[in-house]
Amino acid sequence: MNSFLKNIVEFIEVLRLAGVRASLSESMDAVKALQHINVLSRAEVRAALSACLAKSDEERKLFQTVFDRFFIDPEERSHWAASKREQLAQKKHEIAENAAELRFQEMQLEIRDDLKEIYTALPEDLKQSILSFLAKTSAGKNVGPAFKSIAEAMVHSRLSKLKTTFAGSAAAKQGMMETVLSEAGLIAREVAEVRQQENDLMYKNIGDLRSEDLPNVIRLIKQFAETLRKNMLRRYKTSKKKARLDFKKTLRSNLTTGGIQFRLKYRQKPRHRQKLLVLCDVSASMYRFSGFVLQFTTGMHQNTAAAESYLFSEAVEHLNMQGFVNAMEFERTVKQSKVWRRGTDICKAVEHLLYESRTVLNASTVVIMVSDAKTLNSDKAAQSLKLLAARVKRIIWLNPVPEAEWQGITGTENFREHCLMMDCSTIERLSKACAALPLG
Amino acid sequence: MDLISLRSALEAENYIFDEDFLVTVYVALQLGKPLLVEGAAGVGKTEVAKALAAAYGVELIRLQCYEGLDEAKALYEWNYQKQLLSIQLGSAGSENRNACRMQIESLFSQDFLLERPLLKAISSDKTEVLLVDEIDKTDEEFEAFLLELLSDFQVSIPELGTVKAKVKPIVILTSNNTRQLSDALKRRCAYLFIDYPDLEKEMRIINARIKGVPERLVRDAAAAVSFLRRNGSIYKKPSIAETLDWVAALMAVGKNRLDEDGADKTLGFILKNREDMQAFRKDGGFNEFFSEKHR
Repeated sequence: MNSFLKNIVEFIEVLRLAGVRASLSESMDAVKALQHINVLSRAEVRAALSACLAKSDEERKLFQTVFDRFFIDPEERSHWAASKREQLAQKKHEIAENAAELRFQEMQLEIRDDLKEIYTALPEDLKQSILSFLAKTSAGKNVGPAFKSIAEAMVHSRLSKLKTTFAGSAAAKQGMMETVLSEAGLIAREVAEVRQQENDLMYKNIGDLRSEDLPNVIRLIKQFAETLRKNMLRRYKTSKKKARLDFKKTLRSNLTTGGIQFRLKYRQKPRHRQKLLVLCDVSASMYRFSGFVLQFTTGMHQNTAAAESYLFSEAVEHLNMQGFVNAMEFERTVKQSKVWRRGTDICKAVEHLLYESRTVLNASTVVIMVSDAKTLNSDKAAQSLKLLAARVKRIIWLNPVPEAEWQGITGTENFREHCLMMDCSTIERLSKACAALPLG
Repeated sequence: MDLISLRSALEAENYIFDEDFLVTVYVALQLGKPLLVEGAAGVGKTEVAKALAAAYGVELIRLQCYEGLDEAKALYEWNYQKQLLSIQLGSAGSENRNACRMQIESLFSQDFLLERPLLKAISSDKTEVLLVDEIDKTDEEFEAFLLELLSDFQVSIPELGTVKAKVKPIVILTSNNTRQLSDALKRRCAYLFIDYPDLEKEMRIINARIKGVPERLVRDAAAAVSFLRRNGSIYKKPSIAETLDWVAALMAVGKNRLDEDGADKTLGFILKNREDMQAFRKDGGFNEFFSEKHR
């Protein structure tokens, strides 16, 4: 393999590590493309490789960042890699040293690598609280070495929780222990960090957004909500309406009988659109996500009357979106409603839909539920959700609480049996959820 | 056509482009790959195909995609009326069974085939430009059906067998990204993303597309559109097509530069929904833009 080809193959490897899904055939196209351009022109090489290897706007941005970091003077690159390698080795050493503090009766705790990183990044007071817990437990009465596994589990759970709390912050840079120390691995890590900094907003928890972030967040949420709505409203299912005779097909199928019509053919039954039913939880536990809920609801109704919306907490209220002149009026109305910041009863909300509302529920209805799943009577709620799932085509549950915390919310597991629950705790996860939703 | 000739040919068509665009199109042509063009609505994706067809001096064959588009509308259909007439004329004159059988077989020949855009593009004797517009609007089944055409430039017709392209057409697919296209389709295409133009490019586009626009109006309109696109509260950003309409509207109301009155009267040409207009007016409209301009 000549050095030119080797360089391209290495570049493609970095692209893949950074998250671009370049296939073998695309790699071959990239190499072929270079035969048709002036390889001494950086701009031409960049455009030719990008055309063959990056197949979406997101991948194109990743490609640009990788290209700028990969195609530099080889000597400069190897110096950079050597210094990065040294920094990483130092950091890993520091993480290992910090993790060595976590001891139970002089025995070191066995903790996952990602949690060791979290522990190292913690503020001193939080570290001290974990160490003092371990010290007290170690010195407890009748506490033998057999308790090590219990202490390990406690520390593990505490660190996992802290990991979620610090998710998205600089303190929680993940994967340092797993970073491949090859040049490719180092560049890919650098690219991931740069992209995350550029898209800081995408990775922030939806409940922790600052007021200065709001205009951009509103735009993003509305954009994703509208994409979701458009996709959901595509025509996927044939209707049961009686079909009309298809004259052409009838003639064609009766050609063998000289055009005498023995078999009648009907026009393909028209497809009809799915109906959207948006059910938003505006209870007290959802207060920190209220910005998201309000923007999502308006986004689902952008320029259309094709979706129906309900707000719920311990009661249910129907939203007439057509009646609102602007977003502020909508927000004011929601905040003045009787369901705003009350307790949550999902069972009541679902039963209202099933038995009291005039909304038609049938096999074309897709229900989008936005809620953190914290509710009274979770068992009854799961039962009513089961009934609702049987009446409609699908229930999609957008949960603004990170997936890692779902286990701690009573009833979530039962709800998940009857719906597709998706984590939308950050804008990035919401966008992935919208892209990954089954549409048909 | 080499890179220099392609550049000249596109320039001759008044098509405004940058280096990335030129190299991407050139690579797709050289590799014989379809070109998938993505970008916001109105940034000139369809124009790529029109410019290429004009540059090559060939016909543009266009397939406009929509929900429910099927093979009969995209690929081929049998001419039933002609088949029926042929049967009736034939059966009147012939008693021979063999002749009848041959006649029925001939019913499924090229004579009775109605070519739709895809078949027309691959059965042509010369290179044609095939535009598959707004591919994201079709169903996934149709997208899967296109794979054979895009990779091997052939289609299978049950009654006739496989029809292979005599000359590979230049295929341009456009998408507004309303849904994600499959990896299989993307893999078969070269990819081009067209973003909103920068100020200088937008001015060149206005000058190229509308004759006789005063220089000051061109500069003001391009700057104002760029100002609107930077406004985070506007959901539907103005496209290039809308910029051109706006400039034409401003000229129609007799403006040779952008002022508050002209901007207010013609705002509907650049912002196309009520919420955006309300949000923009609430933010002070063009006040900030004009105060910056006067400074």
